[in-house]
Amino acid sequence: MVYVDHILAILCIAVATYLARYISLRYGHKLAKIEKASTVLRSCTIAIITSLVTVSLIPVYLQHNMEIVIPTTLGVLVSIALAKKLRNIGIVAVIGLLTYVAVHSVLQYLVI
Amino acid sequence: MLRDYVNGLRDSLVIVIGYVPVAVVFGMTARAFGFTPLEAVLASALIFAGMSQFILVSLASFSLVYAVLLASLVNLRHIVYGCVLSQKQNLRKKPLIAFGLTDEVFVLSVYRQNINEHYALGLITGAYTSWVLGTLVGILFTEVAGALGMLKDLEFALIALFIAILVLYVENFNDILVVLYSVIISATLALLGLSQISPLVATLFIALISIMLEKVRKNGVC
Repeated sequence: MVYVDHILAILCIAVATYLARYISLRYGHKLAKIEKASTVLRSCTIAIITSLVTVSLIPVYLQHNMEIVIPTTLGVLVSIALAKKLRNIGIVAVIGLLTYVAVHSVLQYLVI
Repeated sequence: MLRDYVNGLRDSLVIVIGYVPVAVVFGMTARAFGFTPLEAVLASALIFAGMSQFILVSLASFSLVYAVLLASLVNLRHIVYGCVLSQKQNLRKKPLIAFGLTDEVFVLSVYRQNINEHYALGLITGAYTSWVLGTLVGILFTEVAGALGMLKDLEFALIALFIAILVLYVENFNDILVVLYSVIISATLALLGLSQISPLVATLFIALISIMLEKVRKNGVC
């Protein structure tokens, strides 16, 4: 089933993104001052991502369920360790996920 | 004309190598967070901006209006890209090029000297095709994972991806401070049961602090 509200949200973001890209590309020479806002925009992006990671991890650690806590911790550590070395966020995410799944499966097997 | 386009397409290989794994992860997480295959493909095909797509899928279950707001906020950085690119390169076919002006396309377009619109369109074609096809591969992979009962586990890919982005974004002491403040704000709100609004609150706080610091720096107080 396709959710109409999901499609509407996708369209809204698509239009907003396109307008931001097009207007700046078309009238960029007149908007040169906006470049100075890049530091603020960059900080905002870091804040949003940090916040999303934090609110995803906190419930995991509050559960005190070692079957989830251990794979999550290892997955997070592997992702942090590899990010600077590989410099490819997709591959880091896949390796982090594989670490999580592998450790989680082993722990489930041991518990059973 | 065709030669420039092919050159752009060839140079897009660097972007493709980076895009495919991220697009696969997007396809997987979108399905794991309840998006249908059509919605996941539409998101990649119409938005074509990875970070905002990930924000959309992670916050859609809470409030779509909120997800749209934050995803659009993150994409405001593209305004800077357009400004810089329009001053450095003289490109025609701006309506088409604007659609594909992602982080990586921007970097390659600015890096090369005197590119034209055909070269830029070649870059965008390679990047866009790999992004949409990668999403499809991710969706197909999710069907396998779902059959194995591992759909819930796929949600971790989003955390791993955000962590990787953060590690690559953080470059100086100011960035570390932004991370620390955001963790404190988000953790406090999460413990109060207000975790979903924490990205917005953290962003507003950081934006306010950043603007104040910029003003202080400009006035020469520090």
